Amino acid sequence: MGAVLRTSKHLSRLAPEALAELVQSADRFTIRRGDVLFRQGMAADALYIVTSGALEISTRIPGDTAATVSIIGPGDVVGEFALLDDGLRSAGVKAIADSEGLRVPKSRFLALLADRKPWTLELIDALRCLVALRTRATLARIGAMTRYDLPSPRAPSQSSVFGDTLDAVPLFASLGRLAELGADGAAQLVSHGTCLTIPRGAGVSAFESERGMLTLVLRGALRSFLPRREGLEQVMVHGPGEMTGLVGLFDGARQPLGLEAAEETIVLQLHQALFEEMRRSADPIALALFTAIGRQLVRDQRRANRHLGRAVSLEQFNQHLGGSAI
Amino acid sequence: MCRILSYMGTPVLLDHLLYAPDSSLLNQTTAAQMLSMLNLAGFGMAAWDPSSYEPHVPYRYRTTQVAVFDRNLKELAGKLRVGALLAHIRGVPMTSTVQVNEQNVHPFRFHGVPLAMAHNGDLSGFREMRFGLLPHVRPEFAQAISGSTDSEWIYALVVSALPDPGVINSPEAILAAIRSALATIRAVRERHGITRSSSANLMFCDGVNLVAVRYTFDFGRFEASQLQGTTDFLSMWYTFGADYGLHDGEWKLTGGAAQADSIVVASEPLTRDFATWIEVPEYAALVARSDGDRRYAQIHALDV
Repeated sequence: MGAVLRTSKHLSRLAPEALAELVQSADRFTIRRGDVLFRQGMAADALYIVTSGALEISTRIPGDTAATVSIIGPGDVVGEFALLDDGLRSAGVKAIADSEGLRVPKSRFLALLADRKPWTLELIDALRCLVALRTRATLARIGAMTRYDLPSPRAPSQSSVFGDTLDAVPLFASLGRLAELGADGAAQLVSHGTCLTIPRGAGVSAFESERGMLTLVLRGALRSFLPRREGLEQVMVHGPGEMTGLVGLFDGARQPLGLEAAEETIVLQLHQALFEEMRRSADPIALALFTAIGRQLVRDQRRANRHLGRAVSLEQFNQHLGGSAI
Repeated sequence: MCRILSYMGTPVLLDHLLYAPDSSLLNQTTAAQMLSMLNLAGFGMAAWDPSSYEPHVPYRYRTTQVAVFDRNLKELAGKLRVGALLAHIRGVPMTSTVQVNEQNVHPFRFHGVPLAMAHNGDLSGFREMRFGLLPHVRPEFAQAISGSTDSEWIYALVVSALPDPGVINSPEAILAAIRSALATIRAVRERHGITRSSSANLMFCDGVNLVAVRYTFDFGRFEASQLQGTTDFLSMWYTFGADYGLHDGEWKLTGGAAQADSIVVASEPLTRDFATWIEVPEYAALVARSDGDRRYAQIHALDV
């Protein structure tokens, strides 16, 4: 089991001591071929790490049919959203071979995380990286297939600095999505970042731009998009309290989406050096920020999956009926 | 805020759409899953029954009663089989300034105009800006406005922008009219300095075309003291399939996307299990058209 975990592409970044503590704290699970590990829409109560066998991940699409997302095997992780947010299972998993592995119950893990056990901090960071990678892969699939009615691309315009940054603190502190940061967290992050007012339609960062900064929406909305020959394809809209730029910040590669202001938007930008410093910190404000970042990563992955599901199902719908583009 | 339901496809019993699902439109009167308010200010629908006299003309029903208590609607729903439906329950702020009357119940459909519309949302500063909209409304439709809602004005703007409002238009023409109306509203808002987030989730149906618009002006631009932690209530979801019925204990469409001939669009899923529902994206329109046995559905960006 230890060898499988040490060579796992998802877990190999954990220190040997952390891996040992993970194994010690987890339960064992076994599942027979054909049995269901969990269903889509169920409450998410645990993370699973496969050490032998094979599991099929599938999702249901309109028309109530199942579409296979992937087949996973030894060293792979599934159900990671359970430790990152409170949503329901986004996909179903069943065994296509007799399988076994580790089960990390959510309640036990979160209790240990609250105690800042080092291995839990390492694991949760690895899971955030994993979700970022999954989102990048989903976006690549979207880029390869979707057709849209597209607007023309707009030339980015200059952003303007938003007054005195102190003005942004009450705005930040009122964000329901970041309530756990409190007024102190809001004040600290605003003091370390740069506030900008971005005019509607202005570019914030280009598709495949360098790793860049974490951008938090304080008011208004940002649109992340994929460039197309015909224009740009909206993939997500980020409202107040949402963060962007996370995939590139976690995996270190170029940003998989461009970003522009869907409306006049006030943002707080945090430099990647600060992001890295806080990522490794056990400071309460850093932990609260990265808890919110974990939820954002999951939200983005769910949205990317829905976007893909929409494209797949509409393609099937129109193909069968002989529909043509409007 | 309100809740909307629309359907187009193989005729189904109205009761199975309005009443039967776990989170049916009528259940959303008091227990919406994605909206923390009551929708008590009226129910309305336009329902196209292909077996009826003049099938292109919908059966219309509007009441200010709380529809869950409406025995006439319940009896009717047990008899009518609809091939297309646009239904709405109205939710308003709990204040005496709101006018609850039949003229303000959705969907709106002017005499002689096949296209009907229902709205979820509200335009901030509407009273200040509405006369700025007037030049963009055809005189006959300005005269036809009988209620006091922003919704009826949005409808008047859209049908005014149709090349021929008296016929069933192409999806392109309907989309162009929607874009024109949204652009007019955005320009008039700017002229009046209105910047507060205002949602215009709209559903249109004429029995052949179903167009569902998810759009918010100045999305996310709330005052700090009124900042909303969630925008779930601005959602719009759809699903499709070939067989609408009770399957595995839930009312849903099954049969696969490739065999699908029916589509449901709603402010929120009608079932507890969201797995087979997908959101209409923000700033976008879902366009579905049913023309004999030829049907299609597409998402169009609304870059207005």
